[in-house]
Amino acid sequence: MRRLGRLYGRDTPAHLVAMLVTYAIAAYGIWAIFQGAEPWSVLLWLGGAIVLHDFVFLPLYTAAYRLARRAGGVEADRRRRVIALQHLAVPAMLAILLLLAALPLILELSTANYRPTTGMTQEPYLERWLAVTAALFVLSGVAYLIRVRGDHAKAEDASAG
Amino acid sequence: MASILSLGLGVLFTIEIVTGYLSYVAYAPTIGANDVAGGGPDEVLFGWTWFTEPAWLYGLNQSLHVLAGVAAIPILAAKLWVVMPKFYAWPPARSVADVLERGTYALLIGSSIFLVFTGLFNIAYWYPWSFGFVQAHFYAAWVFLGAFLGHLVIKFPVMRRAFRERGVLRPLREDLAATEPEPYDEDTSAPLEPDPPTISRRGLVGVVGGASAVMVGLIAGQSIGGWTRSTALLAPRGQDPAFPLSQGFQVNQTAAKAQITPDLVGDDWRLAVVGRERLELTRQELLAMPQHTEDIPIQCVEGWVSWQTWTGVRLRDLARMAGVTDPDELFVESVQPAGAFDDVVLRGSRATDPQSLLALKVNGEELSLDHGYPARIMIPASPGVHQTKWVGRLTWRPS
Repeated sequence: MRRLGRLYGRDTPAHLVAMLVTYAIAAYGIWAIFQGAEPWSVLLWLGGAIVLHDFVFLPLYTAAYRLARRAGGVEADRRRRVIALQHLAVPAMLAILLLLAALPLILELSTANYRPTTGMTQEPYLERWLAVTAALFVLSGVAYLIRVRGDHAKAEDASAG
Repeated sequence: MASILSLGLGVLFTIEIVTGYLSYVAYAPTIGANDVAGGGPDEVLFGWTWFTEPAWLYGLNQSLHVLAGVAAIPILAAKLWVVMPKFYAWPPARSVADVLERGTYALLIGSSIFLVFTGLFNIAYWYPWSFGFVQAHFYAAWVFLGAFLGHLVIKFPVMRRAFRERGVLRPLREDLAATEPEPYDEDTSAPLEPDPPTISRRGLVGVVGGASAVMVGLIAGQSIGGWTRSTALLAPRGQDPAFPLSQGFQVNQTAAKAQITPDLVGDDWRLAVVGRERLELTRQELLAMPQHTEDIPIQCVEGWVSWQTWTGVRLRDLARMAGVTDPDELFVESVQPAGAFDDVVLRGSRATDPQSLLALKVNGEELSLDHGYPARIMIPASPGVHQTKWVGRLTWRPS
């Protein structure tokens, strides 16, 4: 039993049970996908989701992170720069997530379906997204100023004390 | 660090699985040609009768489904960011177990991203793929379900251990200066060579939670309705009712899209009611019957809700006129020549609920063409596409 476990790579049978559950149910899902229309297209998009994340988004945000770290620069005022970067990165990240979540609306990608179905146009969404993005940067900037001022006050208190 | 993100994601994904399942049941996929996912669903699992009380139940279910999916996006992104270094460990697998486990991560990550984004693109009516959305979303959810359950079995003990050793909230008390990377561990997501921290744990949890809250906040108004709809800036159905929408509220499918022409619903229109007897009713005759008024929301599978006050004839009265008192099913057919859901089979018990109407008016006005003139079905807690518009024939099947 222990030898089998070593051969498999885990001590407890729970792992093997979990694997069997996963592959059994997932296999049913994939089998069912193949009963329907365009199964390869579904699999392409399922796999494409991983490829897109691992080979497009991950390198992009890793690069952004590396760049930001380099800008973080000299150790002496590292904290201040890290904080400044945080206050730029957070609204930027949120704006990108919102863009992703409402992509077809903001870029008017689905007007051909949206308009006849709902009776509305997609025109307002780009402006709305830009306004939300601007508001996020402004709010983050205000929060930064408050935080930096708080730091200054603390530093002054420390020097006075 | 992954533990607290996993907890949030685990809760949200559980909501997705439960609400997704309930929504499928609400479509009554085991009767008639209602099954939009294909494949002949199981009678025991999916064949029970969905509720009519409370009247907003389906809307709540779908709002949760859409909003939990939106809220999951920042957490999923953060979690992938946190665990990614582990995926680049070398060698990538040291045993059969490792190889199998790797495969389940591919299924889990692929299906999560697929489900969230096919869902979001569907509610905005963007279909950049050639497969049918409902079927693909439904069966990809099975792939996800398997991978999620397996992942829980393996990782729940790891999460519990992390919480026991480090506490759930204790790591969140440290500020940036006090934040130390977790020591390397084979079973957790802690990386081998971490960079110096640029954000505290509470900072990360705050940013991720805040991002989820902002995203939900910019969409939730389409579910709540009223003045909050104008706060749903980035929701597909978040536009101001002042926009020239027919009768001031959201249309789930316009008359133009369904190719409804005036002659289809003009003076020659008759409602055929078929049961043990067969009769044809003009709109005047329907208006002369006892009228009932009910507040019932339109509740779309896409997660938007619109409360309106409907007036019309009780469906159970129409059943009785056709000589059927305890119908098993009601087959509803629209006169619409195009568009989805031109017919549907409803369960008899739901159709004969005292609140279930063949609505002729909304908010005291005649229905507009876009809202289903001359008559539409309104059943409490029902998916929007089952509230058939431009009804032409009702066929009662006695039990």
